[in-house]
Order: sequence, then structure tokens, then C-alpha cells
Amino acid sequence: MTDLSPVPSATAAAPRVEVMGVRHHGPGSARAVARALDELEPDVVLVEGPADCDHLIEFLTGARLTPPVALLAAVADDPGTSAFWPFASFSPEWQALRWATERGVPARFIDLPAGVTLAARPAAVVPVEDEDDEQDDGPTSPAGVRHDPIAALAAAGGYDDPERWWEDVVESRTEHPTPFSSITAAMVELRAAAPELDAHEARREAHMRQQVRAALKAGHQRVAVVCGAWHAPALSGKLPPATGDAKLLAGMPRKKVTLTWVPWTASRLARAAGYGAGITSPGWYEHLFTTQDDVIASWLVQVGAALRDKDLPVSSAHVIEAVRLADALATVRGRHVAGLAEVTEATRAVLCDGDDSLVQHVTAQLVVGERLGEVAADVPTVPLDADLRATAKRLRLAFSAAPKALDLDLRRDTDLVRSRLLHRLTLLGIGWGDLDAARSRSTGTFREAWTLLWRPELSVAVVEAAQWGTTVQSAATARCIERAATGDLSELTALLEVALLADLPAAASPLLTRVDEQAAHDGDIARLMAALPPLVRAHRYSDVRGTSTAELARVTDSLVVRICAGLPAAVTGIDDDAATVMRGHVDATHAAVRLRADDDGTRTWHATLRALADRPDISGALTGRATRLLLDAGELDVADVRARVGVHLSYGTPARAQAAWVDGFLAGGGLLLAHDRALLAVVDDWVATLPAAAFTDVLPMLRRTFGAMPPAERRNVGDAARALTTGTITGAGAAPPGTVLDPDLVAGPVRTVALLLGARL
Amino acid sequence: MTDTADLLRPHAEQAFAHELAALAAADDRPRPPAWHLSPWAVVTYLLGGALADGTVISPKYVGPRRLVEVAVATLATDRALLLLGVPGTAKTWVSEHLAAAVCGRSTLVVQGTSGTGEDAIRYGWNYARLLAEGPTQAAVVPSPVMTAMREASIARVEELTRIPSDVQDALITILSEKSLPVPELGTEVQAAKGFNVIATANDRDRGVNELSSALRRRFNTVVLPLPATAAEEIDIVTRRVAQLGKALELPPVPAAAEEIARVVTVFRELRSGRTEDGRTAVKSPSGTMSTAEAISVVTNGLALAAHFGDGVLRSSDVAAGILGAVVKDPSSDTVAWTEYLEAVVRERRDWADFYRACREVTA
Repeated sequence: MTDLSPVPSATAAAPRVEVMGVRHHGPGSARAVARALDELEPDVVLVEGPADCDHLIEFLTGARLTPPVALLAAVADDPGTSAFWPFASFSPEWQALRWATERGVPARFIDLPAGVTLAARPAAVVPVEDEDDEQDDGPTSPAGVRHDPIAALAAAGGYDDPERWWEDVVESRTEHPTPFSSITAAMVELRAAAPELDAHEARREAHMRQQVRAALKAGHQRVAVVCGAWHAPALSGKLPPATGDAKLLAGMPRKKVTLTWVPWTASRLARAAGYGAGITSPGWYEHLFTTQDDVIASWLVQVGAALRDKDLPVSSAHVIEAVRLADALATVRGRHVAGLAEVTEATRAVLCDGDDSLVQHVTAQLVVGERLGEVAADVPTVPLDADLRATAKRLRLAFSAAPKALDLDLRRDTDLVRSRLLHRLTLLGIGWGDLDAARSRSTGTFREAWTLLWRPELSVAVVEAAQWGTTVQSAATARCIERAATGDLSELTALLEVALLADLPAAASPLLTRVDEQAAHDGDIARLMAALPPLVRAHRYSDVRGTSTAELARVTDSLVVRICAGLPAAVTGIDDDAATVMRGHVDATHAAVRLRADDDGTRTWHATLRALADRPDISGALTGRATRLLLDAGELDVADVRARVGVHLSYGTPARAQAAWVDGFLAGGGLLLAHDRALLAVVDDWVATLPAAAFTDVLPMLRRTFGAMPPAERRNVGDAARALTTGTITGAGAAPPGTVLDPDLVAGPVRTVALLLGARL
Repeated sequence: MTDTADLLRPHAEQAFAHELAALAAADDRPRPPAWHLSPWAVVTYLLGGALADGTVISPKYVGPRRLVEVAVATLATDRALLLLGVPGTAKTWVSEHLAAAVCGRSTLVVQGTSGTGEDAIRYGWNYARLLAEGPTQAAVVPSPVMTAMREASIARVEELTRIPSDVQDALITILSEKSLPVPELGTEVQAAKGFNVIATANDRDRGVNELSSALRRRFNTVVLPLPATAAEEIDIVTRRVAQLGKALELPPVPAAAEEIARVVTVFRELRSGRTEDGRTAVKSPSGTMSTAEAISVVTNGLALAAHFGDGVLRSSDVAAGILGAVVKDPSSDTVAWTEYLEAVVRERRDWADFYRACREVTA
């Protein structure tokens, strides 16, 4: 039974403080800590971590937290300023906390409170864990040594995997049952050579010392301290007088913070920047932590299984050869045990036939891992939730369990902000608002019709989304960028449109980079053409919404260039059905190019269309369409077009091809024929002189062409054609000669036309 | 022994005999059976370094250390080694030096071509003897592989993927059973410890015969990469162009650093599918766009400039060469090239003359 009596008795032996300098997230350290705790049986466990999070330690009991999880601290009135402290099952700190909570031994965090840390660093996001980790330039740079001194020792010993060094050098060569005294001794040397601590660092260590003193004062007899190896010397041995530390700590600014646990993922542990813990191989560490014997062989067996899931023929013989190569490689490199580097090389050379993409698959699935943390529902709310509630309140949106229609007028500021919020939430998978596409379209582009409905399970979605950020905006941006990493071109452009609707300028740039990349590697012109209209629309929107457009314009224009370069090849050798589909794309692209209204792009596009129109070897649907588009754009003059119609409808072309050409030429507007008699005459003559068999052959196609015209248009064309055959020369829709006009009936239309033309009667 | 100074091209073990001897003398680490050097010394021989006695070992291969370590470790585990890579990545060079360092002999080579037959890998017959004496041991003509098995050496197979598939598969028995049966004599040759095979192959060329998976399984694969940075590649091209120019006795043309840098940039951008500033993605053409091709484009350009131009390497001298290197497949490569010209080259203000020259030859 541990002695928890608050007053030390005079006869008790001197209290014992055991400082365990660990490697953050080091499985070797974690195992050593667990062993050392079993041996020491401490009556209090002190862990490096924000001191104001003590009350969150109780959540480790039961199965309420499943690592990886992170402590999250966010400034109460500004949730965007936040910090995360991730824990994996193989983190020594996590093992120490688990050890204490399982046995009912008190455990405390001893680092500076998160409120102080966040007040000291007003930057929007404090990178994790040890706040002292400026981006290190390698394990042996001064910052790197401070951040991960054990990796620095390992690197000095020729190891690039610090955990294997720990295994090889620390675990197998120390006589002492625990390695911590030797680690502390090594750190004393390292610290002697390192530059002076900065003020923040000094305060952190002062705070930790004060907490150790407090624990002793409370009468604890066996105190275990788990902290980063770098700090071990500062907490070991006889502590200096408390007054110096008290002076250092006096008067520190402090902010009110909300604290909670959030679920974490292995891939976020692996990320070196932002919220990550900078461990590149959480999966490998997990394996090292859970596996004692045959580490290499059992790992490569897993790799083999992962590759087999990808339908690659990997046999046991392969795995055996990979193990042999890893060992031989370690020998060549003068190491006693193979590490991740050797294992990865063996995987590449033996199991993946040198193919890097397969190695990356293994890396993503095993080395990093796909583990997801879990946090039970009774853990306090997350800042994202607080931000959402605050924003909703500000925008006067109520969380109602009954559906509520919401019509937004985007010209009004409040409504615009509301629309952005709802778009962001949709992006985050929090389906509070449902955009009614049909109603929105019918009411014009500045209106959006939403239906709001808050379902209880959305609270869970909020907690899940909390991993992306602490405010709705930052989370939506992060999510958007994450999704961009995998999507194909059409998804990307759609996402880009959403990002603009949701006003996420920070996501736009990475998205555009991805669009550009995909566009370059996508050989399918149809997909490129499908991607263009949303981009051009986005360019239009962003004008209205005031986001930067230069980058967007650049990507859009380069997409036009790509389409123009690829289209001539893409239409070669396709059949009529494919040509009809392609015709739709050409139409959409044409419209988009016109909307974009960039001189260079328009010129290039017109040149491409002209090349299409001139080609005898492709489907008439396309040449006809290109001719028509050029005519409408004023690129071809009427005489030229008449000649082209004549050529295409002349004797040398098969009837079906002629009909396809007419279909392409006339699609989407036949009034042209009613206005241009000469053109009509050519078409009319063609129909009239078709041989009987050919006429039957093309009749369905002609019927479709003319059937697609609106009735009034069809009537006009019919009238004009009748006038042609009767030899009457009149304007389209003009009254036949001899008609008597009723002045009363005519007066109204004449006035209207005059008004439209601005003429005076 | 022949005097190596008179040879057009001495073998690795001849040219670097003094380095190999110095390494063997200084090397006190354990050596695998029949190896002349320890794995550590082989790695040092390839990557260069200085020995305790002051001998400087020149680097034979400039590239990632880990690749050489994997290659040597593979040979030490008695698995066969396959060096893979696009043309011009020093595969043959590495294979020759590995063989020279491991067994002191780089000459047991099978050169793979589409006409390589099984007797080049297994054994052939001396037909005069065969007719006179019938099948006897003396009538067998051993292949380099058979010799290597007998003498515990490294056999090299160059351009493995150029060899017809059925002939390639003759290697399977040799690599898995480590023996080569001679059914006509009822005997076999069993490989002595120290025998191994280094094969080279490239995966981008046309007209290759994919390795069967049975054969592939018997190799560890090391992929030799293209030069990592533009500076490194420009350096390689400049040096090789100077050497070739001397060998071909081209009239000297003033240093054309700028044009070389431009050619290398074009090659790197099209190869990697991304502009050097990382801002624009481009399509990669079907050709390999190897460093070796960049060298030949520049050498060609120099010849043009020297014989037909004004003696200075200009954009117009290299434009046609580049077009030829890029457009291997008239339809898809033309798309990639046009796109690159219009989207990337045209935007670069100081590349205007290059753009014009390229437009001229493209149209």
C-alpha cells in the first residue's frame, strides 16, 4: 500500500525522486518507463505536459480514450489560437499516465500551463508537443539536438533510426536495470555544449522543478518524473533553492483556455509541420512497442500481407529473402540490428521489384499506419463546437430539430456570411444545412435556398471534424486541402467551386496547384474540357467575392492551352456516337472560353476550331459544329460558310456523314437558315436531290435535327423554305404580299419594337 | 600482361588495379566466401574515399550511397542483382565495377540482344570436336555464366530485357538451383561459393521483353535514378560534351553554358512533368529524355554550329535536336511538346529566341 499521508514523518527515509529522461513518442523509452515504474512503485507520477490539464487525466480510466489522442488547448475567446499535445500508445508519457491511473496512483502534468504557453505565443497555431521545437534542420543541428537529443546521439553513433539505436546501444548494454541514469549523464554532456536556454525554456524547467518540490512537500516518498531527456539533468539530483524559480515564474501572462481530448490519427502524428508530432513512422514504432522478438521478420511478414492485398505475388520465400537482405545491409552499414531504413530498402529491392509507388503504399499503410484514435462522448466539448455555436448565435441561426427553410440573398452581408458558414459545414461533413439546388437555381445566382435541420448525431460529426481545426473556417480549409490530395480533376474543380463559395482563400492555392498537376497528367481531353467550365465560373465568382484571381486565371488559361493542344488528336478516329459526346464538350468549352474572355485564349481556341472545321477525316458532327461556332463568333464570313456547307453536302460525301454535318451545324438554333436564304438554298437543294435510298437513310437524323428546334423557329424555317420553292422573295416572317394589316392590331407591336430600337414614331 | 596504356578501353580491374590492391591490403573486415574484398571495401571502392595508408580511392559512381549498399548487400546474400534504370544512368558502369571489386574480374559478360541464344547463357558446342569425338567434355564451349559458376566469379548479363523471353528463362535454373545441367554428358556444373549474377536492364526503352515473374523473383532490384539536381546534370552534360567534342575532333566552339543549361532544363522539366519552379505541371512525352540524349542534342548542336553556323551554339542549333528527342510518338508527344511550348516556354521572357526557333522546327 502506498503511503499517501500528507505530513512526512521525521523517521522516514529521504524521499526518492527518479527522473526518467525519455524520447518523446519513443517506444523504447515507453517500455523502459513501464519497467522502471514497476520497479520503483512510485506514490506519485509527474509527467511533462500542460499543468492545467490535470483534470483530464481521469479520462484515461476505463476505455474512454483510445490512442492516438491529443490534448487540445484553445484560448476561450479565440479558439483559433490553440495547441495540441498528441499521445500514441507507444508514447512514454502515455504509458506513465496509464500505469498511474490503472493503479490509482496520483498523476500530474508538470509543464507550464497551456494558458501560459498560449499567452506567450500569440501565433495562431503553436506547433505541438514540446513548444521548443523550431523546425529542426536535422537531428544534429542545435534546435534538433534540443528537440530530440536521443536521435542526435543515435545519429552520432551512425544510426538513422533512433529507436533501433536505443534497442542496440541503450537496452542491451547498460548494466543498470533502467537506462535513465546513463541517459541523464549523456544529456548533462550535451547540455554543457549547447547554447544557453532561452527564457521560455528556462521558465518551463523552473515550473517543472517547482512541481517536483510541491510533490515532495506534499509528503510523497517515491516520485517518478517522466520528461523529455533534454530536461532530465535540470530535474535530477539536489534541486537548487526554490526562490530563483519562483522569481522566474512570477507575473507570467496567462489566458483563459478550454481544454479537452480530441481523437487523433496516425497520419497526423506523422506530419512534421502544423499539428503533427514529427514522427515519420508511427506504425513502425507501434510495431517496435508491441513486438519483442523477431522484430524484422514479423514486420516484413506484415509488409508481404499488405502487398498481397494489392494482388502482388509475394511468397514466404520472398519475405525470407527480404529479411536476409535487411540483415546483410545492416552488416554492410556496420550496425548490429537492422532498422527501418534497412527494412525499407529490403522491401523495395526484394518485395517491390524496385517500384517506388509500391513502397509508398507500404509506407502509407504500415509505416505510418491508418490507426484512428477515439474519445468517449463524455469528454468536454471541443473548440470547434464552441466556435460553431458562437458563429451561429452571431448570425442568428437556431439549432432547431424541425426543418426550417432559409432563403439567403447573397447581396446582403449577413446572408453572405451565413451562406459561407453553411457551405463550410457541408465541406466538413456536418450536414446541418441542405442546399436546395432546384429552388436556388430558379431564383437566380444571388439567391440560395437552404433547409436547416439539426440532428443529434451532428454533434458527433462536430467532434470528428474537430481534428481538422479549432474554428469552422480553419477546419474547412484543412479538410478541403486534405480532400484535394486524392481527388481527380472533376472532383477538384467541383471542390474549388465549393472552396470559393465557402470563402476559403487559403485552400484555393493548393487546390489550384493540384488542378494544374492533374490537368497536365490527364490524357483524357474530355475530362479536361469538363473541368474548364467550373474553373471559368469560379473565376467569375471570385471576381464578385473579392478573392485573388491571378493564380486562378493562370491555371484556367493553361487549361485552355492544354485543351487546344490535345483536341485535334482526341477527335481523330472516333465514331459518330463519341463525336456527339465530344460535340457537347466542344460547345461547353466554347461557352467557357467566351465567358473567360481572354484574348490569347480565345484566339488559340478559334484557331483550334478552325483546324477542326478544315479536317476531312473526322465526324461531320464536329466539323459542322466547329464551322457553326466560328460563324457565330464572326471568325468565318458568310460566303466562306456557304462554300463550306456546299462542300460538305456535295456528292463526294456519304449521306449519313452529310446529315451528321447538318446536325452539328444546326444544333442549338436554326434561325440562321430562316435569315440566310443562300444558305437555306444549299441545304434545301441538298435534301431535294438526295437519292431515294439515301433520303430514307438520313431521314431519322434530319427529323432529330429539326425536331430539336423550338416550334416557332421550325415554322420560320419552314416558311422560308416554302418561300424558296414558290420563288417568293420576302423577309423572314414577312407578311405574304396582298395581306391587309389591321392598324389596331399592329399598333401595339410596332410601339414595342420602336421602344426596343430607341426609335421615335 | 598487356600494357593497359595502349588499350582503347581497359577493363575496370586493369584501370583501377592499384586502388583494388590498396583496398585489399587495408581491408581487415570479414569477406564472404571467394570475395576479394569485404562488402565495406566494395562500397568504398565504388563511392570513393581515402584509406589509412593515404591511398585516395576515386569515386566511380556519384549517387545515393544507399543504392550501392543495397547492391553490395544483395551480392553478399547470394541473391542475383538486377540494376534497373533508364538509359544513361550508369548501370553498366556500376555492374562492371561491382564485378571487378568483388571477384577481381569484370569480363564474364553476356551481352543481351534480340539475337542472344541459349548457348550464350548455358553452353555451346565445338562442332568439329562434336562430329569427330561425339559429345565429350572437351567439345563443350562454356558460356561466361558457366565459367563464373566454376570459378566462383560474378557473371554479368547486360541488357537482360533485350534477350528473348525463352532465353531469359534459362537463367532460372542457374539462379535457383545454382547448377547447370549438361544432359548430353549426363553431368552438371555446380556453382562454387562466390558465384553470382549482376544483370542490367532498362524499363523505358521500346522493344524490351518483360522479365517473367519467375525470373524477376530471383533478383533483388536496385533502380538507379537520374541525376538529382539540375546543377549536377548540367555538370555531367558539360563534361561529357567536352570529352565527346575532343574525341570527335569538332572545331572548338566557345563555352555554351547558357544553351546547355536551357537544354538540360527542358529535358528535366519534360521528364519530371513539372517546371523547375514547381508552379506548372507539364505532360511527359513517351521518350526517356535521358541525360545521354541531352548530351547528344548538345553535341549535335555543336557540330551544326561549327560546320554550318557562326561557330557559336545558338537556340536554332539545338531546337531540331530537342524536337527529335521529345517527339517519338507523333500523336501524343506532339501534344505534350506543343503544350510545353505554349504554356511554359512562351511565358519565359528571356527564352524568346528559343521559343521562336522551336516554333519554326515544330511547324
